[in-house]
Amino acid sequence: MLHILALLTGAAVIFGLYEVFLLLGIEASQGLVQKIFFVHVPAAFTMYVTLIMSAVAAAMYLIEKKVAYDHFSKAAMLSAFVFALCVMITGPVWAKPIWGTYWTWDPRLTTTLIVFLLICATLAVRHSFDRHPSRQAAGRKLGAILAIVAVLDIPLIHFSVKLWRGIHPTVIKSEGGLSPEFRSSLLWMSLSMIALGIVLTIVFFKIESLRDRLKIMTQKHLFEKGMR
Amino acid sequence: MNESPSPVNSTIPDTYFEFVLGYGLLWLILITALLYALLRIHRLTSDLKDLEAAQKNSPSTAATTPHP
Repeated sequence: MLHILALLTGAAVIFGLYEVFLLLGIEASQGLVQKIFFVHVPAAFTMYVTLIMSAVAAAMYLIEKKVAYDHFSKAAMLSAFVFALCVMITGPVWAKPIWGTYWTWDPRLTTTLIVFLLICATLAVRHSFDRHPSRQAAGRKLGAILAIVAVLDIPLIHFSVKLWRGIHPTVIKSEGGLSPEFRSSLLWMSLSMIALGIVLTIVFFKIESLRDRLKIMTQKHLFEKGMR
Repeated sequence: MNESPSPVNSTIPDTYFEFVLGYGLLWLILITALLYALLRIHRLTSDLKDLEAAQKNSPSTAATTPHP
């Protein structure tokens, strides 16, 4: 099932890139660099989706205390990290020729940096607590709380442009904005990138489950060895 | 002298370097993440198989396993 989903996602991404590179024209005012838009914005949407998935699983873990929810939350957070890193790198690369600087303390950029740092903090906390078996439960709880805090930043990122009037453009508008061709390509790339995020989350979840199984089996094996 | 007229799209800024850098880094991150995940799964699966084989060969489990 995962193989089929991964193949379909790969095909969708390749078709999306074919459309962006070969079918869409070059934007007159920005040139080729404008094509970064078709991966930068979908990567940001995927970061939102994976963060929401992580926070929902984290809340489920806090309510039901099932380890599987915690594994899923961690897996989605890892995916969110990958896509947040993509956003944090493609954004400045695109900004340099257009704004004349790699970074500016614009509200949207600042709130995105905050969420990126929160994702890093969540993963760092989980990693450090994971090393001590006695503190694992505390680490999971703290990781879940941080995931929920990180997701609260999403509306702030999204509405920061309207709230504080930054220089970052608004992508989703009720009127005007993108041309129909650009809009359909953006939609296609966004859906394929979100599918890629889901595939990556499932793969990371599989890794977490395998790690857990290996840990239990190793303990059992060592216990049996000790009994003999 | 005959000078060729400048092409229409000469006003389009040359941002080829940033375009290649942006796409290159993005795919580098995504492919590294996918490769890391696949290699980790491969390693964990082989570790699990090794452990299962070791458990089957251990004397305590061999004693409980019926002889074929």
